[in-house]
Amino acid sequence: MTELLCADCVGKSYRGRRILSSASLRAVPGELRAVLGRNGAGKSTLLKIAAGWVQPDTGHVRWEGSVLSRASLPELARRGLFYLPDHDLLSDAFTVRRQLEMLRRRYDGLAPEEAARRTGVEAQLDKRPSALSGGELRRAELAAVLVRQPRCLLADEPYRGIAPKDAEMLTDLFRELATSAVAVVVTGHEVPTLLAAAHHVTWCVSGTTYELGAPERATGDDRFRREYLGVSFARG
Amino acid sequence: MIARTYLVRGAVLWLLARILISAVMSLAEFNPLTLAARSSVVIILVSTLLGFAQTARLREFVLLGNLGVSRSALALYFALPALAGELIVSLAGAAFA
Repeated sequence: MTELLCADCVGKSYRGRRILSSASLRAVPGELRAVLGRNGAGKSTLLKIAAGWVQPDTGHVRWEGSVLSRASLPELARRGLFYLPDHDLLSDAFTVRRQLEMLRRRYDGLAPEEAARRTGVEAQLDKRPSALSGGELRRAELAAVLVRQPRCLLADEPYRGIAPKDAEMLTDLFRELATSAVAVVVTGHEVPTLLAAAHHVTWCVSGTTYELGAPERATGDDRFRREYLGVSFARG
Repeated sequence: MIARTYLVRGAVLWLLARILISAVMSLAEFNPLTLAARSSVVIILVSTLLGFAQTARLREFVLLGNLGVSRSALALYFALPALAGELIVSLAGAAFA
């Protein structure tokens, strides 16, 4: 297991409230990793730290084994990271096409038209993000991922508020990226979807993380079932 | 493309700030074309801050981060047109003085 990106033993407090005490996140090429945990467990904060969007109080971020002092999103993005936040990736000041074109020119990526065709947003290319539905917007953001062709993708709650059909497309795309050696890390609450898609499960709880391994192994973990999945899931 | 987009935004914001400041100075019966260098620096700083405020309002920082644009590069995109504008205005002021 050669990790591309690692947020190692990171801690973070906001206004005196401890969000993370010693949490770790690893992104491994060819793997789709799911980070699960209750609301407020610190999943998004952990992802933001790994993406260089938020600086940790303790711990560090490594890229290809090298420790980055004060890793920043622009720096990591230039190395091949793409951070998909839970909202507001695309600006409403420009059309979707223009933003995809910016990414294409910056990174010599896939043509926006091709990315839009694969995500089913060809008809939305010349619209501004505010004119799109929630599902269309998510697909437009995925088109941005395809244009960028990242080495590592960190996606924060990408399944939130989208229709099952879009969720299916999202899963296919994440798996496809992982198959082509991209390191994919996804957070969310859509347990059946994520467990079916992921190669590895990380459980975020009480400010720390537990590497539970493959989904079959994770669902067999007593504490994970008792404290997170719930009794009905355990019986199923 | 990214640089051009944000340089244009910087130029528009500087122009708006300059028009507003010039109007106030005209009302106070000062010549807006002959500002002290210190005042020009303040206008450049104000234009840069307006650029950041606009970027924050439009929630573009994550997009810019993914595009590999750092905050310092963004500050340059907003400050450069303001600097160029102030130079042009001061040259024009000297020519008409």
